[in-house]
Amino acid sequence: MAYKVRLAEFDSILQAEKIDLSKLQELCFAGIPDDGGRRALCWRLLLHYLPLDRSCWLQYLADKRKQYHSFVDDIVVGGGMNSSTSSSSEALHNSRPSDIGELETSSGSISRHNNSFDTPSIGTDINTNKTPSSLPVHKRSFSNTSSITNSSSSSNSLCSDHPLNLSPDSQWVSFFKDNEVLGQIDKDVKRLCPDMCFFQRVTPHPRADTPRLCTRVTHTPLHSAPLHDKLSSSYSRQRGSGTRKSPSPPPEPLPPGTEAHWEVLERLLFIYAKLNPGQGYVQGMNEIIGPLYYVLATAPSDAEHAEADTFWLFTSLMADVRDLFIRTLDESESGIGRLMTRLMSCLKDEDAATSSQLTCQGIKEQYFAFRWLSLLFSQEFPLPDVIRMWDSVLASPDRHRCLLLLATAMIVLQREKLLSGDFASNVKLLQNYPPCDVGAIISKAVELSDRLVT
Amino acid sequence: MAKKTYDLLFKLLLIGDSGVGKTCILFRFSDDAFNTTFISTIGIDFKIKTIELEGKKIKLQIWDTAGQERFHTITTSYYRGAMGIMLVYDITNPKSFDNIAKWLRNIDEHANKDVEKMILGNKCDMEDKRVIPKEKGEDIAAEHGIRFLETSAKANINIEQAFLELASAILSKTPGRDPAQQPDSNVRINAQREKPSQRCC
Repeated sequence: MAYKVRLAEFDSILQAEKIDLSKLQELCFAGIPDDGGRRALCWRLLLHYLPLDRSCWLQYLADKRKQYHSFVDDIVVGGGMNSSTSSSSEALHNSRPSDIGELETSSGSISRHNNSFDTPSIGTDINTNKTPSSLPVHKRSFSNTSSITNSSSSSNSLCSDHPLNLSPDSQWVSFFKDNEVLGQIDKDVKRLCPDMCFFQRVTPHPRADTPRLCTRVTHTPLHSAPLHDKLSSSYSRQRGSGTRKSPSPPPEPLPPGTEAHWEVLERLLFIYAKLNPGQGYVQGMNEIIGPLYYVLATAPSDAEHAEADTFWLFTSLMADVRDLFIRTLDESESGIGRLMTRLMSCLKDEDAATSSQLTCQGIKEQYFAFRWLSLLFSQEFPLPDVIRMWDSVLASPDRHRCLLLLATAMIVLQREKLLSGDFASNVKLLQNYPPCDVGAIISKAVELSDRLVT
Repeated sequence: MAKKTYDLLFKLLLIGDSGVGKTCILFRFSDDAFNTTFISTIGIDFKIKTIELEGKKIKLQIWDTAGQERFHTITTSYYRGAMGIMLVYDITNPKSFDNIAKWLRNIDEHANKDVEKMILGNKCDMEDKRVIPKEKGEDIAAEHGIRFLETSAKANINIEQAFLELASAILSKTPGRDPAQQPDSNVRINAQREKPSQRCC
């Protein structure tokens, strides 16, 4: 009965012409019902993606989704490669018209015509004075080492840029740099949430027209002797990066036109990294984008827009937590170092005994809190629990304070074990937080919020 | 006084590029199992395993670090306390091999001068994808006077061997480990100059 009342409360807020954000935040903090795609809708609102005025939604969503797909066209389709080598020469000089801006591949920046674009940017991310590249923009058409050679030989006569060009303006230089970023993303998205098979499954909403990014990071060993011909040809048919162990069992090559959910995440993170070159891709971003995408892609409605909408939700959430991912900001006011210090001072205020136990044993906050806080607890709990915790985190007007209260609650709830444990068992306990009811952590955090100054 | 369950405590550190298999190596050693589905290590992780060497119970406290550059400020703070460091590359990933020099510089900058080092070329079960010949690994190890082994966490090749070798190198220069052998150990203090291990996988 109480559940039905809650559903009705949600619906009355969500169906209003103008959404009451503070009421919605209050409701969501206590957990969003799984039914009817309410969570996907609420997260879109809590992350300020959807405007509060319902009447703008359709047009706004259409614009944002179109904008995202033009990023895909420019960065993945236009700036990447084409899977067939035969089309390489006809694709040369095929500069793609774009409705949102020109891509300058050499600096990885985009100049945008759309002023409403609000990707968070810091330092070098700010797109100010980029002039479009003077080089002809051509599609590069290769998927492995041998076709790189093909493509370059055909382009040499037409274009001064070539794969061995060391000039910083060379599109090839940026292409190879991009592949390094991609290699890292590829490793991480394939090992996201390995305890569930969702991300390995085929998405019902692929972007079938885009080249497979993961094939760009496939290492093909350059064997010189014909002896190895058989080996290398059988290897080159495999998808995925040769630099990492394949998930078990090794993924079968997917038929053309289909993709797995992790490939969608790979594209999203690559585009994010390209649009935010000062930040790039940092390990752990996969753990932040994973739950967002999961909630949107498994919702009963709008799942076909999960990719585009996830991009904007991720962008918005990163605006809040991106400083935690930037090494040079570690000790700044908004960096992870400062946040961890604040956590330890919260703990000291709340539970001096446990705090001094950790200090005496030499258990530093970096051992556990670095991961807890920077990943918003996403590696500490099973995905459904993470999602429940995020209902509260996303609903909090001050997300950093919310993270601190939750983390303090997590430590305090283990105080008995911590007070009796030795160094090794305590580090293990905090690095492998025991299965628990996350509701209890959230309740404890609420209790702490009344008396703790963070 | 509480009963001690071990005689010596050695602190070890695993470093190397992202995705070379550091976590898998540690998991194979500590739990004797292989799991392809590890999530990426963020920051630093930790395991304990007790071994016996020369009749001594040695507790190994092993720290597993994140490979990506971003985490270096966090992870380099662990170098100082480490008595042994395992530097891992992936024999199928040339970049991870090229970066050995960079990792060695990190060790020089942040670790104790007498830290025992070891280079591991992991994934040696993937012969068909090998790009770094074993000799190249041996050469760079010899050049720096460091122990070397090729390993496979998946096929359980040389994993225990690696930890035992590193631990005995540390033990051999631990003062007072065995009064009778003390002079000996001083002679062997440069044990890491020995010819790199020839064990094959």
